Amino acid sequence: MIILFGAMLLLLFSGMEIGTAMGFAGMIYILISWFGPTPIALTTIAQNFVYGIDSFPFLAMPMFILAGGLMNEGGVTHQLVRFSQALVGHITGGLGNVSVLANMIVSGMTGSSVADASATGAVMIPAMKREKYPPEMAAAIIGASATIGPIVPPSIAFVIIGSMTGTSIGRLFIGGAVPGCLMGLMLLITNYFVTKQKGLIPERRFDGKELLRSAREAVLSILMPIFVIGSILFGIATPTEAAGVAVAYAFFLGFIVYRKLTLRSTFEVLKRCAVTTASVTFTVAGAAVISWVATDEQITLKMTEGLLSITSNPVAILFIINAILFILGFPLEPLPLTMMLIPILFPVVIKLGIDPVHFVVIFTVNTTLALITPPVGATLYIVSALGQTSVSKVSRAIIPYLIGLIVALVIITVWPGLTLWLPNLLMK
Amino acid sequence: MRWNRVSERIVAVAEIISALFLLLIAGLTIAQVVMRYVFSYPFTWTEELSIAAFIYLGFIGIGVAYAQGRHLWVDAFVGMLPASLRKVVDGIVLGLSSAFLLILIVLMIRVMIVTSKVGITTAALQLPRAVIYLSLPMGCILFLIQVVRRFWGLGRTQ
Repeated sequence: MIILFGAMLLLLFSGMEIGTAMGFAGMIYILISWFGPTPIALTTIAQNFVYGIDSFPFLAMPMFILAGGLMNEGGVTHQLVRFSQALVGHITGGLGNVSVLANMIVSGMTGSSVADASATGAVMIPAMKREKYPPEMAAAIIGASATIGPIVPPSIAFVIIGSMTGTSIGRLFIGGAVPGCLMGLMLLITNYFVTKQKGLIPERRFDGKELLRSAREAVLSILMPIFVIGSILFGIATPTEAAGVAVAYAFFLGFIVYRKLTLRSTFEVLKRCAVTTASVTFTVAGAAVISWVATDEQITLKMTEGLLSITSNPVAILFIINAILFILGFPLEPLPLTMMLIPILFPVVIKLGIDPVHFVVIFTVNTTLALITPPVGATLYIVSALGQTSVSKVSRAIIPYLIGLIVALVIITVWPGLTLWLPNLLMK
Repeated sequence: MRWNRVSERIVAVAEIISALFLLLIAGLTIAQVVMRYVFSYPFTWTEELSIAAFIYLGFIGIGVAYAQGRHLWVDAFVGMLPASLRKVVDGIVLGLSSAFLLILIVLMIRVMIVTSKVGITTAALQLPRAVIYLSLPMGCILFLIQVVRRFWGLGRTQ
């Protein structure tokens, strides 16, 4: 077990592709078993590579990636940002509030933090700079609000973890709604104080006509998340089917209503999304090998005993896990963290009697923060590039927002009801 | 030089194939919804076919992702190494990756031979499992080409 994990970490940190590194570690584990009493066939690795991704719920992942790509390319995101601007642009904290709100609405569709940051940042960062926001602050606000993406439904992260662990994706989606709003609220509060302290007063006035106009233009776009979430919620469609409908609707809006998509650009989006999908899929395949080794080694049992010897309080255990995840989040990104740790941690946590939905929400909120913690954070890089400022400046400017998000994470961790109330109410 | 061109071609073709698989998945999923809710006549085979397309997409596309530098990897630590040491580490990693992919290809072909002898098929389409398994060695060969190419490039830029 220690050899396996050590080998995996060493290979990962040497820069090996993640799926390959996990498969390789699995192979070493099997080779060692040949010297023991129960040798294992090497073909197990190849079979696990395929079994790991041989599941229908997983198909929601490429569909949501594609829907997000089509919406950004097709101008849907742009409409939503304009609408948020008209709605809350005049309140103190002005465009900062807009960014948070726009990200919450947009994330209701793309389900990925990096996609949200690039889509809303492209519109909002220049707008904030025009209103005298320092560039690093504009970038920091976008980066921090984009972390809500994978929490508010739908969420690609929930699809991946749900499929890996057999947790209901519908329940996860609904479970993310309230924690996502809490994160948004914490960011709005933080933003209020930060902008007030910097003396940034919004220049725009509330304009009823503008609100009406942007609402009319955006109404078709706003219908989309409502439709997707509603159909999953009321059991009309499976997450995969809902994602398929989202793809069709995004294409319809971009191609026929807003006329931003052409057949050519649609194919470019398809190509880009296909490659994104493949890079995730291959690592999921590799993670299946680690999952299998964890079962074979009875790691769950050993780790559960180990954790219980420290404390039997579930909240304390969750805090230990949170601390580990947060520290690992500095050098690592959410997906590697998920692939490496979910196969090992999830069974342990379930054995300890923690609700799977609650745990997955905590895990996802925590790992998303890895996107905005230096030195490695994809969102941090994107917003710095969009704001034409340095990563280190943005890293400093993002600290108050990061603290707000950590407070949200702590509340989500200690209060299971916050996450579980809505899915328990709406779903059996 | 010529090999570079060939490899670029392969990547471009694989990228288009991946995009078509994604299009197929989207089309099947939407068709499934339409058939069930509009005509209340659900297909039984769409699910199986779209999963197969998804598996193919995953394995065929990884080589493309790698060639474009869009695969998932951890750059925080190798980025801190001095250039000379970095080269050594990269070399070892590329060598080990190639070895692993080669072994994976051989293993999967063995699994394919066994399953096709036994004649295992999928439930609805009666598609031989071996056809689905074929995606792994095919994808790994594409991936391997890119890894070897990078390995080669490492030695050339002394």
